[in-house]
Amino acid sequence: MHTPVFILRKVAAIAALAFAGSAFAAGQDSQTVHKDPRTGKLRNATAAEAKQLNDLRAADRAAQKAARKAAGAPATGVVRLQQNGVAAAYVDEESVSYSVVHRTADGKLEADCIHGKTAAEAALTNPVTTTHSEEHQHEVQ
Amino acid sequence: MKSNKLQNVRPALKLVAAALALSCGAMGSAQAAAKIVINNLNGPGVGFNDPTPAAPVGGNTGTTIGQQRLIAFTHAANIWGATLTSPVPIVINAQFTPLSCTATGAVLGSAGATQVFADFPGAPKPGTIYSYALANKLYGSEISDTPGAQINARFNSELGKADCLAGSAFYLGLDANEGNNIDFVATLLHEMGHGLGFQTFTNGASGAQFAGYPSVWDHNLLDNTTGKLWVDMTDAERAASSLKASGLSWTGARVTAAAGSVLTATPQLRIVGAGAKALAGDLFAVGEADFGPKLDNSPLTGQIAQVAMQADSPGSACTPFNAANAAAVRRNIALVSRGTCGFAVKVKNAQDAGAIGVIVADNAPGPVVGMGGADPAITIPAVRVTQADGALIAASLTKPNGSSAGTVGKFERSKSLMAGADAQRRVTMFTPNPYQPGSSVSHYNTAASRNLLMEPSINADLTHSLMAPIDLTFELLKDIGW
Repeated sequence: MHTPVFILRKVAAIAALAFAGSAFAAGQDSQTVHKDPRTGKLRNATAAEAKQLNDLRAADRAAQKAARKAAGAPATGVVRLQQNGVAAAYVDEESVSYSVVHRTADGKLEADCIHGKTAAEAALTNPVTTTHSEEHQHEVQ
Repeated sequence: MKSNKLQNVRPALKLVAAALALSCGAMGSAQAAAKIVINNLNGPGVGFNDPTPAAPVGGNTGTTIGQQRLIAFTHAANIWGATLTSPVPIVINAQFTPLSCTATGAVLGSAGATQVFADFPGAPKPGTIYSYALANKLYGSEISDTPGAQINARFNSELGKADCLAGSAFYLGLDANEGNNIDFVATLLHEMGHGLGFQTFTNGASGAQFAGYPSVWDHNLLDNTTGKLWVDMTDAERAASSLKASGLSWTGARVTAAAGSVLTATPQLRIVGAGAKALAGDLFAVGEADFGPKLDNSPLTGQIAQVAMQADSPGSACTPFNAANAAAVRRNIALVSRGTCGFAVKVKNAQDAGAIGVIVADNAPGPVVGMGGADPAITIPAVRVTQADGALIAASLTKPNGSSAGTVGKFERSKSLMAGADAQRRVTMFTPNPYQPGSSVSHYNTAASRNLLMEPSINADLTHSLMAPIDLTFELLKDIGW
């Protein structure tokens, strides 16, 4: 069994949308990077490894959901009809906005805004590919 | 004018920030009409109540870390309070608490709406979700049958410690003079913006709507390649549109009307003369440099000369130019390749050889991007083109480092296109490929120039303004109902 070390974009996205309802089943296609225990190098996860990670994350989400329920916290991402006839829903951590900062190779700090706890934590371990790859990217060389 | 108040929800604690909030509240303009209440959730001795002595900084007169945090938070709240209107107080639960860290990175903080609402009296769009604070404003009174704070905000109490981006800290001054630190006020303004509704709750990666409802955001988001609004798309269409570079445009009237006063004209390279294929010249998209002079409306014109590789240089233009290269670029625009050494190094070497401008051709496929780096001694403009465009420009020259090909370059600004907007002058949103969870769609395009508060990267040159002609944050919020 290999240890997943980085969670890349797709799995973060899947986790990020899991709150939104039952249509988003865990275990969808995902892309992860694993450390190969034989070579010590990073490589793409196999399908089985990706599924394993997805299963772990699904279990984690289920545990969090159960913990919230046990604590009496209202369910998130579920529409309820209020007495005044208004549709309402609680928002969870995956719709919250996070500011994430990392130190670049030249010592500067770069701060980015990322929605969702899962994506924000993934950005901590993989800041370049997660946050800076569009048309205004300013590499120094 | 209403003032924004900070209250401590722990009754045992002093309401330290109340007076500070009032004094900051006096800074609001006559249009201030939203009261923002900040609930300090921190216990004694920590977070907003941290008693560690601190010297006043950047207009922040607090004498402890906790006081300064409160003052900065209240300052940001007052900026928003002076901008928005609402008959219902906007309550923010705020605290400093341990958040995720690594040695080289940290979650600075988080903020977001606590609830969303749809189908209420006053809602501009039926069957559409609005964030809590905006729903309250539109409804005209408290909308929730389980009232609470409209926004939750948390900030990292561990920042700067050994295992949490050691040595770094929030800049708590109010003057946007953060240097190499993180401007707390700008961070707050940005995150509060999301909490107030600057986001879609629809998932851009899958296209799935939040609990089956479109966000008000989605009514304003147009795929400018298909002409279809997000609200009218299938999940698959939304997911596909999230990946189109500059392909999602904001259609709201307020943003579109103000864009021209905020965004600058798009920089471009026009090739004319013998090397050009079109009569009016060939246009190439360019990235600008962080160093040297910016392009202005008066084109810089010069013949293009390609710099040849030198035996003493590990890469194109990485060492002082030899006689042949110097002769080629003197009073001309130098064409160099990216790689091995910094952009600024290449441009400075070309400048020292007498070049009047520099084109850096990328050394790998990819979109047009800018050039980072710094060298105050650089006085000539430089632009960056894609690898493919660089090859086209080079092919139009007759000699590798010659200047006699008759290919002339013009560094100019477009008369019709704006940086960060589409051809119809609608502002575009952040749509990188691959999708960036958490950043895509709910931010302005990073191609925008000037830099905007609601781009995904919190840029160092931001002011604390939310409105045109400095910024487009408030205009977008107006478009969704604020």
